[in-house]
Amino acid sequence: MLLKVSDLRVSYRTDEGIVRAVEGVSFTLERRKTLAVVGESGSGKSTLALAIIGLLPRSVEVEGSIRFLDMELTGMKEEEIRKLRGDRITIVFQEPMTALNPVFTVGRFMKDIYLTHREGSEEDALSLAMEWLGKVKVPGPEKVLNSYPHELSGGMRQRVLIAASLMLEPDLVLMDEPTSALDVSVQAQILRLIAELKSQVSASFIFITHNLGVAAAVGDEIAVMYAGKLVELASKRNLFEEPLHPYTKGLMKAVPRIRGGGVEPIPGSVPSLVNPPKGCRFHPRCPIADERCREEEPELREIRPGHWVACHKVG
Amino acid sequence: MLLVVKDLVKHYVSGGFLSKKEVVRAVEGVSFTLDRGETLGLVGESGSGKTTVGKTVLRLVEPTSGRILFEDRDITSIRDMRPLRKEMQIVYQDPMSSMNPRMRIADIVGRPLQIHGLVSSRRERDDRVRELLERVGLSREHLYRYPHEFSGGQRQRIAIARALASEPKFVVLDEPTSALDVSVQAQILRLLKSLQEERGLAYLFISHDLAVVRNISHRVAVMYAGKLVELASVEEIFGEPLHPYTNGLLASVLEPSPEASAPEEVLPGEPPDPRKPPRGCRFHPRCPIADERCREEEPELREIRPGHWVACHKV
Amino acid sequence: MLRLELDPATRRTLRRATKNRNIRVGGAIVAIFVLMGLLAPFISPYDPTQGNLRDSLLPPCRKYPFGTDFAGRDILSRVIWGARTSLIVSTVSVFIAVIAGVIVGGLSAYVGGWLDEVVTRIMDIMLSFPDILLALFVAAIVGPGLENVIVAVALYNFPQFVRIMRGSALQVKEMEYVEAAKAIGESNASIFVRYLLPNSLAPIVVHATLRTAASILTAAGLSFLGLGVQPPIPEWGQMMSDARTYLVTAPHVWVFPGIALFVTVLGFNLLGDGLNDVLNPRTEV
Repeated sequence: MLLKVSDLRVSYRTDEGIVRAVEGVSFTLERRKTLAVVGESGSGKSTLALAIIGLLPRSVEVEGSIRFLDMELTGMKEEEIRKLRGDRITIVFQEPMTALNPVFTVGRFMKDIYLTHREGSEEDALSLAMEWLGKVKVPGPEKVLNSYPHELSGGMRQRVLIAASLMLEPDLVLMDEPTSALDVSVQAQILRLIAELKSQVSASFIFITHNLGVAAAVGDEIAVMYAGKLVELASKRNLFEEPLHPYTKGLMKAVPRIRGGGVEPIPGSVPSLVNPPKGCRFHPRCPIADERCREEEPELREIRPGHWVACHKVG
Repeated sequence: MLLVVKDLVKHYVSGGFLSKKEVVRAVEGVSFTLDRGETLGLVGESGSGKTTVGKTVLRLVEPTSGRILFEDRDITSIRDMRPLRKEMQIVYQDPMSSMNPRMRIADIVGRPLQIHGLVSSRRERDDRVRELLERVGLSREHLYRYPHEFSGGQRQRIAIARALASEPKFVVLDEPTSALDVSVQAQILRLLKSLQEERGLAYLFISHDLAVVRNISHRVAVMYAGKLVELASVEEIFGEPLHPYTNGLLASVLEPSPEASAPEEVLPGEPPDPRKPPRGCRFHPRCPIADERCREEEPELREIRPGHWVACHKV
Repeated sequence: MLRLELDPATRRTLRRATKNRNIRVGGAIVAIFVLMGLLAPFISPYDPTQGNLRDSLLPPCRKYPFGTDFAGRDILSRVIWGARTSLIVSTVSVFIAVIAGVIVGGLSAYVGGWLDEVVTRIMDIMLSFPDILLALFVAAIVGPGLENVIVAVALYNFPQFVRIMRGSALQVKEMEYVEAAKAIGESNASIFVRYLLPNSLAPIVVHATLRTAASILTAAGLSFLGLGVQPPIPEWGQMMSDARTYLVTAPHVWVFPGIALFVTVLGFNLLGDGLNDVLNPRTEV
């Protein structure tokens, strides 16, 4: 077991009140597996990733447990987690431009990552950077190494970040909507690339996305989040063949299909995380909710081997 | 024909005094027609010029050359467009930034009624706004609220109410659901369809999302680097796409399914810089079947079959 | 009733404003200054212009808490009345400059083209004079006196507001809601008044507060040099100027108006900084 998240809760204060962005999320991740976390805005999926890699501001309260290798990440000192970050755990963000320092070349950026975490010479760093730029298939790695971020296209920048996130052979790679800002044709290239790289490294991946199609393309396991809670967790096959949670079912029907069909709305909108509905958080939008759903919060239960659902009306 | 667009060109010129003069060829000779009650989907990636086409047709952006006929009247060089604004409207991608944050809903939706003299008193205006709000699925009580008190989906409903207030015949929808969650996107698409049926509206639906376009359009136009590359009925575009770019886009679409995996065949490269588009066919550097002629000679948009137009030498 | 409610953005800003320490301290000082100016006839113990020559240059004592000047006038009363003079000069001149600056800067940004070009060049020239020099220049031409000081100070503030309004309006002009307004058929005048102005004013509010502080100083400076408000109207700068002869022998004559000037200017600056924190979204975390 590489990662075990238990009862993770993340909350922070705003003018409007306390926002409970993640509320009691638990899951495990095996080596060389990819977990795709799907959710709409305000589902807490990005907060979850930031909590794991310890990038949330200090004012944000993180409770529960995140076991990574043999370490407990919640409550870990900043110096210690900084040693892990960029080395054992890495992250690729949606907007590559903001993750790259505009005044440094790609070579300098990658070299700095290497020298922060490894004993070695600048030559070692640059040759490793070159090797990885080759692996992510940037045309002319040498030229890219000497380029500034603004000289590269969005797709190229994202390739650079993927190279940087993998070159120290991390155990866990977090990808937060890495293709959402890209054009569809470039998104397809990046997903193809990630699929190929996955077979070459020993890392596990957590892939955060709002797009069910992207989740299906990359995930071995799929986790569906709604309003800060994990509502369904299953293998890709089980989840897409037989979704059990009414929200997952609703999402599948809402997605417009390229062969036509879909576009069946879920009524209402995502609830406020300051004042979420009592009982099951999905009940105001749920077609099969009853009295119990309005009162009692459902637990995530294993309905059948490997298929977890948080719904009173299932099983 | 409600709308006829002929050889529309839009060039942006930048620099010229101290810096080198640069011409951005955003739109390069685009022609299409639109019937009453019809939806034309305009698909393209970033930089394809699709949004510029939409705004130029409404003369929110002045065309460099070409002609726009609305109800058989040439509106390309009309000095005062304001009376015509009643007939043609736009809904933007981000409803928040398209609304004055200091105006109440009553004013945002009611201004078109006042500007075009469709109401004679404040009370009458408020009554009409209430009806409009109800029609787009909002509560009559929302009249005196401000835009940021609403969710993204509700705001887009307000934007739709504003666009419909003056009872236009033609609406440009510029990525109206791209900023919304899937479950809400389906609600808005439903609403747009039912409004079209009820009022005989013509839509120019601009989107990068093929699956969405599939579900709302009667005909589809595909743009690449400022040019139309294919134009046909929705059945033909999705059933028998002829242009290699349309094919590539379709192969890039990801659908949530148990068998899904990262796309196998993907278009290489990225869309060209609109300041220096490639010679010949603009798509040739990314095209799997390009030959010598494609590198030299720019293909014309030809009618291959009745109603099916393609700009490709190889078809 | 609903119509009278403030919009939530303004309410949120107000709520944040009341929590800001700079605004609290600066606001309190400014409030005292304004009250002093408004209530001068009722709270000052003596007539600020009538002195008793037998009480000339008395140090602070029970009868005269701040002492007296060479003419035997009560300095406390003159400081209080001086606040009124500063209040009038600074607020009226800043008000004139704001109105003119908002209109010229806003139109310059919205209309653009040659108008913008001409306005920008003129403002560049006006801004290339050191502040006090411009005011001095105007004061020297039109002569001293309360009204003329107001004109001089307004004129030197004017280009600053033009520049800030122009910058702010240029940003707002690019907002999508301005294009959306055009799309529904709004006229240019309506776009300017309903969309551009209300959304461009936040930086003006901040700057007006800071310029009030600077204007109080400039007005005092002009009076100190004899180009400003003329006796017998009490004015802090002029009071300090009168004290030059007794700098060492009777320091209370300049210390008290000096402190009043310093504290008031500090108050406006604190308030301006605080407003900047609250109104300027870039400083939000």
